[in-house]
Amino acid sequence: MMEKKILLVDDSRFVRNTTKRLLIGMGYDSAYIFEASSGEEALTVYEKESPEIIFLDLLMPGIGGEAALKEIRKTDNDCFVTILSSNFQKPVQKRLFESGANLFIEKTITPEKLKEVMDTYEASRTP
Amino acid sequence: MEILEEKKDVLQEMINTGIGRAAVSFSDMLQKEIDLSVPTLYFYSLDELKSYLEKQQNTEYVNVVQSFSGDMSGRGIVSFPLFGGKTIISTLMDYPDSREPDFGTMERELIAEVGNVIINAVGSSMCNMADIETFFEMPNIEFSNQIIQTDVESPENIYCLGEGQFAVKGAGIEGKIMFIITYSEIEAILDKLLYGDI
Repeated sequence: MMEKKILLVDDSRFVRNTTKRLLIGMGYDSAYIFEASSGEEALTVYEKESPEIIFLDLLMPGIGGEAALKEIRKTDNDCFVTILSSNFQKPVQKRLFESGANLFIEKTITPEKLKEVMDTYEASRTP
Repeated sequence: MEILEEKKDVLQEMINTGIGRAAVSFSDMLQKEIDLSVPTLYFYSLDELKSYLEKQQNTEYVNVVQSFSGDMSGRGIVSFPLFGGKTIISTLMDYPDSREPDFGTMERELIAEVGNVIINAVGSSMCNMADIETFFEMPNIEFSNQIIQTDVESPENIYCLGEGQFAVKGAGIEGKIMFIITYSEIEAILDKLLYGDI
C-alpha cells in the first residue's frame, strides 16, 4: 500500500468517491485519503493533515477552488495541486497555473487521467 | 433583426463542438456510448424563447439549469426524463435501478454534477474557440418548473438557443441539452472570429 496523503476536494460526493475508489485500486491506502466538500473545509483539512497531493474542484459553495489554491500557496509551494474541473476554459487554466496549480485535468476522472496525475507527481519529485 | 448566414454558421460550429465535447465528458462519466443528434440553432426574441421553453416543460423531466455570465452570458439546461435520470444515478452509483419518482438529496447532488459537467463542457469549448471567458454559477435542479427566469432577460435582446438530443446507448435514456446565449453580446465575438480585429 502506498501511504501518500491525498486530499480530495469536491462538493460532489460522487466525484470524491470515484476518485477515491480509483486511487485505492491503484494501490493507495484509503487511510491516507482525506475529503473535503468546500474550499473552506479543504483549508481546514489541509492545515490538519498537510497532504502531499490535492485534487481540487473549482466551482463549489463558499470559496471555490481557485481561492483555496491561492490560500494554500501563500505558505506551501511543495504540495502537488491538481485541478479537476469541467470548466476547462483557457483563461481559467492560465490563471490557475499562475496561482500555482501543478496540473489541470478535465472532469470526468478516469483511470488513465488519474495515472497521468500520479506519474506527473512522481516525476516532479525526482531530482 | 437579420442574422447573417455566415454568423449562424460560426455559432452552429461552436454549438456543435461544445455539445460534442460535452458528450465525450458524459460518456466518460457513464462509461457508455452517447448518440447525438446534430444540434439545432434557433434565434428567438424573449417572448418566443419563453414560449418555446414553456412548451418544453414536462413533469416527467428533471432539468439541471446553470447560468453563466462574462464575455458570453446565458444559461445551459440539461433535461433528463425522470426515470432516465434515476437510471443515470444507478449506473453511476452502481446500485439497482429505482422506479421511485422522487429524488433524494444525494440523487439531486449527483444529477446536478452530471449537468454541471455537461454544461461546463459546452460553455468551455465555445469560450476556447472564441478566446473569451465566462463564469459559471452553481447548477440548480428544476422539476418542470420555470427554466427561464424572465427577470434577468431583456425584451430588447435576441437569444440564440442551441439544442441537441442525446441518447445513452443500451440504457434507454434520452435527453436534451439546451444552451441559451444572449446573441447581442456574442455578435462582436462572431465578427472577430469571421473578420479578425477590424
